[in-house]
Amino acid sequence: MNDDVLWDYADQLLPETERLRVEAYLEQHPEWKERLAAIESEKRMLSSMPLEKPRAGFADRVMAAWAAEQSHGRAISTDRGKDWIVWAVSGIFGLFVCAAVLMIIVQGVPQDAVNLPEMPVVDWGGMLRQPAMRIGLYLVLTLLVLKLVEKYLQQRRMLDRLNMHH
Amino acid sequence: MSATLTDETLIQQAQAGRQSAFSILVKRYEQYVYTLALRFVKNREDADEVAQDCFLRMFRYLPDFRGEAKFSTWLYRIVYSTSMNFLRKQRPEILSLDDDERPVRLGDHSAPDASAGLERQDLNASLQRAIDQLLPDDAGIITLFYMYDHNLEEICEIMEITMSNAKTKLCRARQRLKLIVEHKFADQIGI
Repeated sequence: MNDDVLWDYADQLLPETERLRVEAYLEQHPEWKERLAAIESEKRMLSSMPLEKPRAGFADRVMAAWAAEQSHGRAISTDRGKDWIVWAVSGIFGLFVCAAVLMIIVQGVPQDAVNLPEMPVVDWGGMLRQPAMRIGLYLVLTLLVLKLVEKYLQQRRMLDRLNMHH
Repeated sequence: MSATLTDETLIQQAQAGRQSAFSILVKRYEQYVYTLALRFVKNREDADEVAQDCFLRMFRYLPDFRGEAKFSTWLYRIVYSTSMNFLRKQRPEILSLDDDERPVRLGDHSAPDASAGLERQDLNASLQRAIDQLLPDDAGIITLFYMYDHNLEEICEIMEITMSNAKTKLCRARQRLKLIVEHKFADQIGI
């Protein structure tokens, strides 16, 4: 018998067979029973220790920090929303520019363009069937998607950094 | 009114975005979180900072809390990991927080002198000082097991250790506490 076994017994950490063995031993050795009583008393002392109090206004400070974090998060979220609009508009504009450039490349600039009174008839179906046009469109769309993904990841990283900081 | 609301109700309300539920949870657990943080970081100002950080983390992760563990277990796990991160950043000299071979620092002069008016202090204060001299893990496991009445399974979850490791840690923490008490505070505690 020793103190550790008695503590484990008092803490109810012993398996059933060992617990019964300790109980039988204690019945025959009153001096160890007294020691058990002392251990129980020490346990009561530990469990009755008062909790520590943080500085006054702790809860208010936490709530204020939380409110600040949330408003900051909302600001970032709003900015992200605006970014999506900007990127979408830019993408559409980019598509138009690319289409125009491709048209010029494919069809060439008419020699007498200045004197032409009528708008040229554009064969959109024919244009889209041209490999150069298709590749160009895929390229632009891929770049646009990559840019959007990059922006999204950038903002995720920023949010993570903010979370870590807090 | 707030005292009658269970943790589960408050958590549901907080998950639904009700700020008052957050506030009640903070007030309900602030002393527990602060005390546990203090056991780990050993300094009131640092404990205040760590405790605040714990609650902010709690708010952030609360939407993911599914009630698989007791709320207090989940919260104290946050306290443990936040405190350990803090210690690793602030006090790199504590190389291993799991150093079972590290001796008890009975001659630690950073601790208050036992002879300096301790006689006038009550038992709790003496025991408190003894616990303050324990290593963070030892003080934490003593607090969780004896003060907060968490069982070893819950402590394993909080401190991310195995059951046998938890038993060993608890046993060694008790032994170290006993040594400190016997050497410094025996008169006050009556051991």
